Amino acid sequence: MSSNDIDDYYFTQRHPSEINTNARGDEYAKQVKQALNYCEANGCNPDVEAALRQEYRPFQMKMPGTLREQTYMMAVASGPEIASVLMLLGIDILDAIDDQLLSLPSPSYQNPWQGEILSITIEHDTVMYRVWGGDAAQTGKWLTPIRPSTQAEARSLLALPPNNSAIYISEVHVPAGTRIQIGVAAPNFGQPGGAVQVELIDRIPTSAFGPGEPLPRALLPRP
Amino acid sequence: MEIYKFILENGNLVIINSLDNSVIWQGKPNNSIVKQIVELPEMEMCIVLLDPDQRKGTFRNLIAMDTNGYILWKAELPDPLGGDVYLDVSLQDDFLVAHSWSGFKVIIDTKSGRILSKKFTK
Repeated sequence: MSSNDIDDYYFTQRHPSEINTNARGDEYAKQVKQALNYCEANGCNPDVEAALRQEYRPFQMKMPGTLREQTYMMAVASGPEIASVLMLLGIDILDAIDDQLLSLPSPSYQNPWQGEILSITIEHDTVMYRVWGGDAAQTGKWLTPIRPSTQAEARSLLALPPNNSAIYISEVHVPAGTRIQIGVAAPNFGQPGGAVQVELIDRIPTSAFGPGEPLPRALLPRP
Repeated sequence: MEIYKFILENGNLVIINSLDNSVIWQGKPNNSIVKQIVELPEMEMCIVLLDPDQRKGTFRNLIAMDTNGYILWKAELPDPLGGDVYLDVSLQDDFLVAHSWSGFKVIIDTKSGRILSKKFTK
């Protein structure tokens, strides 16, 4: 999918009455999405908007409702990094992972994930980290559960865009009950990725984002 | 001399006629606390950032208001279906610049609230 296609998909508007009900599959999903874009931008009858959301929901589900065992197998298949991070966070995979795995559309121009993504609900208040600076704001939905040691490490393993200078790191207190997606950062922006990253599905209060601390440019050599 | 003044006071927007210091309009637009304002006196309008923590889910919280307190537009969001919201706003070289929850830095048209360009910052 090219960036133009994605732009078209995410930002083009179509009046709900212009949906071609004979369209099928991806084309129908696209038209429903565009109608939702229209409603978001211009306002619609609430019943129409609710119906559109319901219509679009099946297309948001990359995976059908899964059994817990299938989910567990997927978690294991996703690699040891995620499984170990879930353990670090005190999350029991079988208990915590939702029966349905939502795979929401990626907001960036390139898929930020590699491999499978797990959708879970945080069971306990959890500290995560946000790397920011330059054009990137202190507050945002992209976090990592593992504190990077240096700017270079963060840029590389989290595959940050060049306009994110990564000079600051903030602790983020993610409250229990927050829905997240967790997975491995895909190669992007000329960076290899590979670190575990988190996308907050639920917005949390801006006060949850702590002050920025300078992130070392590089590790100091041992004396 | 600027005739109208926009003031942020305890989460309220106050619009004042400077000629006689009379209050033209005051309150919370969309019943939301005002977090930040950017005055555009040449256009006789004000950009208002409503507190992003006031609502859950997608919240078009960046609005433009005229000197009578009418909402002229609500800014387009870069990721409208992803529970997006604006976090801050500033005027840089006559461009309205804002950061979104979804990780975008966007430039917004002051006349329409449409996004002119966006950069993903993560």
